[in-house]
Amino acid sequence: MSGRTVLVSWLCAAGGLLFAVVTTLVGESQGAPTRFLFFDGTVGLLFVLIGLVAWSVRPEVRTGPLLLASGVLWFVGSYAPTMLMPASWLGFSFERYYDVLLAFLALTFPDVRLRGLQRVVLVVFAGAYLVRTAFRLFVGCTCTGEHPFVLFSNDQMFERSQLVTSWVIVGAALAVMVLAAHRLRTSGPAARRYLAPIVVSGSIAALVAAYDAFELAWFIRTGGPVFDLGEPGMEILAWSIFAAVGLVPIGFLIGALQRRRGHGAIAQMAVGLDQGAAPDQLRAALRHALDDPTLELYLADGEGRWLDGFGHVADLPEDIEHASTVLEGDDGPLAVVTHDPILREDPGLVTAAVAVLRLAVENERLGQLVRDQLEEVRASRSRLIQAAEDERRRIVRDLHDGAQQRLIAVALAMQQAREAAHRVDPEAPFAQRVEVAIIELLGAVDELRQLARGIHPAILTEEGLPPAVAGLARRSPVPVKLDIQITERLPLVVEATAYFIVAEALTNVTRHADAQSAVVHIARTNGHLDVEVRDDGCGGADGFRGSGLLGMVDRLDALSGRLVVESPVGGGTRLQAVIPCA
Amino acid sequence: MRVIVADDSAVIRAGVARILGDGGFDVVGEATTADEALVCVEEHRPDLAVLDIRMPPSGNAGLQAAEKIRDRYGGSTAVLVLSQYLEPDYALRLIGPGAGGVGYLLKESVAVADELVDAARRVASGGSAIDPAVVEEFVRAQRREDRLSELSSRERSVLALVAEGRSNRSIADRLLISIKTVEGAIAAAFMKLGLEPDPGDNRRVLAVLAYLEQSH
Repeated sequence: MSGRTVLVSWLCAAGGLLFAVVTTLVGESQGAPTRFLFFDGTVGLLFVLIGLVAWSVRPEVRTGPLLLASGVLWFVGSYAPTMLMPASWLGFSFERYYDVLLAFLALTFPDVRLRGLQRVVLVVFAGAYLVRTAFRLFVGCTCTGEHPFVLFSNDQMFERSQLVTSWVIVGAALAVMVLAAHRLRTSGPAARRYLAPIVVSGSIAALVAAYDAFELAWFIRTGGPVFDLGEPGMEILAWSIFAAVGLVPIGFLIGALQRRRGHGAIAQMAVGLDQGAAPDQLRAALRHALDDPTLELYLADGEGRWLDGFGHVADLPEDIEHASTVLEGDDGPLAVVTHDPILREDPGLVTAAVAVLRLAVENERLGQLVRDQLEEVRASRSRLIQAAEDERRRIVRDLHDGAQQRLIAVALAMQQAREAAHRVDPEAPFAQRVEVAIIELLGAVDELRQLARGIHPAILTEEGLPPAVAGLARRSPVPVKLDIQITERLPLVVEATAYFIVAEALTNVTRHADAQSAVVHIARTNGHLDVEVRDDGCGGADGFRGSGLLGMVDRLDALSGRLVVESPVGGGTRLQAVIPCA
Repeated sequence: MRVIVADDSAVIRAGVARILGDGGFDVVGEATTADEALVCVEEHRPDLAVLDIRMPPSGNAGLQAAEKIRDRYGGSTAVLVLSQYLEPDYALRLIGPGAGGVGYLLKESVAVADELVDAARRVASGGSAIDPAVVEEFVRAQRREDRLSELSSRERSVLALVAEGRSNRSIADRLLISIKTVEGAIAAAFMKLGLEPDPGDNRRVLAVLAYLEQSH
């Protein structure tokens, strides 16, 4: 609610209150009965105050100002019974104009456009009041006495005008009742709940208006009351009508607050959905927030298809134009909500719900996008590791079958050359130089072999994990006890990962742990390969930092495995890797 | 002595055949795959089969063929595997029950004077031959609180040569000591390690290697 609107509403309210006070004081000075003043003032003030409340609670709809205006118009009629000229005559001429405002509210609450017949009825209703006022102001009549606005006097014309306008008012008021009832009947459950008190209140107001006009017409015709109930019957009837009119603003207040509750439900919906939501949860939340059990939600799947509330592919219903709200995204519609048509009468509510829906859908979409991308990245990383693994094996095979074999062949040839030279001259310097070259060559072969084993030991490829890990243990400067509880072959990438983790761990034990011994435990449990390396060293290892284990963590990540390092100072180090292995 | 040579590299196959021929062996057949080697052995029933560990059809098919020959023709056909790998595991596998007539030599031994012929002779005559580098790999695994440290350096040298599959005479020649000294060192070393007294050339290789493998 903007500052200007607040100011205006408070000024209107202050004006209305002032008018009420002045009216009551005037009534008192005119000797009106206290009971009348009390009830008259109470009903008028109810309109003013409830108008103010509705205005502040729902500034976006016309209910507040219209109720406030009704209160002011109510007090206009209060001047009719006084002896003050011309206020008395103006009050008589402009009495009951609030009927028109209440009828308008009953047909348009909270903020709906009038439709054809409704518009006609309301125009006729208001027109009748205006015509009646014109005749009361300007046409004099012996039955009403002197007043300053009379242009000419004609008793017959005056009576006839009052009679005709009264009948028109009766008809129009009853028509308003029918139209309001029809509106209620054709509403969905959501709208019906908040429309009911409005329509009831509006109908009471219309009924009272009709009765009042009918009573006048009857009086003009017969000169007596409609029901001659005598005293105190007539008085009871008058007070009952008062009380009924007094209920009208209360009904409007109830209706306005019901709408408020709907908006509150939207806030709850936002809270419930901010973590993203499945389609059925979204649909349930919308149904609850908009109070429409017939509501359906269709979400775009990004491939030109629509998914219903259960996530199944579905077609949009045929005639969705008049009863749907489309949630537009950057690349076309994201979602379509089909709902009770009456919900369109409160665009604010549906807009709010759709805004929340947009957040949830967008959130869900982005979440899915991230999940898909993550899955894609993981798969791609897994492929990369597999490819690197294959590549390493290929390199090692080529080293063994290619370079190593060739170097040995060269050494063999040189050995023959050396022998040939030796046979000719045992002291030949050439033979000695070849001998040195052969020794260098054999050193190269040895280095090549170690290189190959470092890249990817052939025994791992050929014989599997247990003998390969036994080799690591054998070469470890720190004595290693093996506890290997697998005999079968595992997927190559799993074997290699386990092998290199053990190799890294044993290297760390040797370099940093100052350990007397280490234990390697490998076992298979529940679809996982469990690899554990622990030592009795000094502990205090700082996670994976600065060690080759970091590469192992990445590798394990790609295989959806995990690595745990426990290294209390003075308590040894325990490293555990869990590798998925179906 | 009749021998067959199996290696998928023609250069090395020819080189090995020539060295063995020069060393007094009669090369009766050659093979380029593991399956051919088996056929060749069946056909010629040689005294010795020299096999490359890596051969077609796959990976270590040569080693598997060697095991088959050992199991099928043990006692009549000895097997010498030439390997690119410094893997004690393979050597142990080959020695198997320790009946002798098997050898595991690093392939580059072919380029060292006499090493191949020497090993081939030992294996062909029912002994064992384990490459010194492989034995070293076993010994290196022994470091602390280990009974090996109780051995004198001579006892340790003798033990390593025992593990290579050498005879007492050969050890004596190598270390330039008398056979008596060798026998004494072996007996002392076996006792310190808690092994059964010297069971003879073939069994003792396994005993020593098994001890070295298990005690680390």
